[in-house]
Amino acid sequence: MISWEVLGAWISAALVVWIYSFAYRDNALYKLAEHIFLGTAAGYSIALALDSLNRVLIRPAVTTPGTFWATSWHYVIPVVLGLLMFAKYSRRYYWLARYAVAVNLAVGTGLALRAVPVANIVRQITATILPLWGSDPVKVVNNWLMVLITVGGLTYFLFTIFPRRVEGAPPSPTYQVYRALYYIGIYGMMVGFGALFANTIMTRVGFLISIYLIYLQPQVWASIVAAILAAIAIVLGALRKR
Amino acid sequence: MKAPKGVVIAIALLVVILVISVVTWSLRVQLYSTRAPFSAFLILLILLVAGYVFMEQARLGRSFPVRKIPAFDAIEEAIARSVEMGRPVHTTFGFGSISSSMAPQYVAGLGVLAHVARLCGKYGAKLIATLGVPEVIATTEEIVREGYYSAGRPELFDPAYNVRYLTDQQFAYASAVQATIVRENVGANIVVGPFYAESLIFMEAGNMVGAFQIAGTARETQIPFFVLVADYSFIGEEIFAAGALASGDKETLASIRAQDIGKFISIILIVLGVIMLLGGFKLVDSLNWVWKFG
Repeated sequence: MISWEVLGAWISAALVVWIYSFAYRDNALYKLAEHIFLGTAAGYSIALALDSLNRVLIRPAVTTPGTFWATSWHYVIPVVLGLLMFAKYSRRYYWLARYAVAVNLAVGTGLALRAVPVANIVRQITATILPLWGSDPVKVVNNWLMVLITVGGLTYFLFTIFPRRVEGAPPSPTYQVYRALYYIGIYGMMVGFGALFANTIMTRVGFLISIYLIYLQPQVWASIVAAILAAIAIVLGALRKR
Repeated sequence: MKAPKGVVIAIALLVVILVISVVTWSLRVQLYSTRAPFSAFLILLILLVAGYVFMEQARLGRSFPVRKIPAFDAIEEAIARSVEMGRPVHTTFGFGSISSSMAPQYVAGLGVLAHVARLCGKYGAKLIATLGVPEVIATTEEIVREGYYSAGRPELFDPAYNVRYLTDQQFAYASAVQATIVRENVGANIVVGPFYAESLIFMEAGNMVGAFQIAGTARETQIPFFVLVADYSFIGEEIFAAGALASGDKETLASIRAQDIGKFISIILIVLGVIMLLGGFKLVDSLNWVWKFG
């Protein structure tokens, strides 16, 4: 008899193969997997939200109203803001939904603002103030690169403060310094992006291999079924192409 | 001489902050983090004041020219090309909750969406905005409707077609977005916002249908994918400048000048710090100084 665990593993393997089949082209099995995935995710989000609402607000408000109104009354505010979201269905009061969005955005921006001055400004500046002379040539070159690329990167991201070149006139020294730093910044960033890209791809290939190991290693039959599922997806895709 | 209303409000706000600080300090309430360096607070204060001053100047008529951002200029080209090909324009700005530290990037994404919607109205393009942020469904619908209505093309607005909320779960959202890009055979794929591992999936889907791709994010781990695959990309902070440019609002553009002041201060401090190191003085120690009180 097939246990739920085994059935779950088969369904999961089938969904993985069907999702991968999109790399070849869109097909009916991908659509099926996509809709299952999307529906499950949407349902999961709703269940999570309702559970949170129940745990934090409804149950305490009903079972221990005295304690709730004395200590946790402020939970009513997000509920009211959440309810305002439904105003979008009214032609007359749809603008009320903006208030909920505005509060959410303000909270998010406030959270971002809290950490930025320390992590993104002060810590970055202090990490870049490095000695440009010393006995270790490798360290010195490294420090020069660090300082130049950071200053160059910052110069690249100056959008409203930049020297302008007068048409027909030779470039001023300020303009030349600006352009040099601008290019150091962009090329430095490109080198960094290349390293980041390679690093991320390496991680993704690791994920791919781990999926292979899960589904292909233990059972020969599992590999054959996975191959058949992939072949069905490819055939369906090819039929649609015609 | 009568002081402008804005200056009075700014001074009043500073006085209120000062009074609150003194009161909370006297009551031994910890208002400031005693672990964060004081320089961070000072820089934040400078940026807030600079932002306010520049926005006030913009209100009085001063304009702040922003340098050319090729990816921003390419948006119009992408939409016009889609119309010529008879294909829709797709745009998305990410998934998750807007009340997170990614909020500024969502705002930038919404700014770009407003610009795209206006251009779609202007050229009569079909717009598909997919989203995974439930809080902004109403806002997105309003932005797209405004784009079509302001261009005198209300008949093109169909909320069920134009705005498609998928889910706030990362890969379910990603699988649906890539399917939308391919099934609708989009002519332009414009993705600006905070993106995670799904960034390359979107770019690859756009590539499959030969869409004109413009992408941008301020999440440094995802920028390489956009730079590599998209036709034009907004690198990091460029998305905020794009959001401000898209709004066309002088005051929002003035806030970009305040950001630039922050970057300029950083450059000066780095150069100064490096020069001072030669004389044996460590500016790092001053920047890391923590004001312990109370």
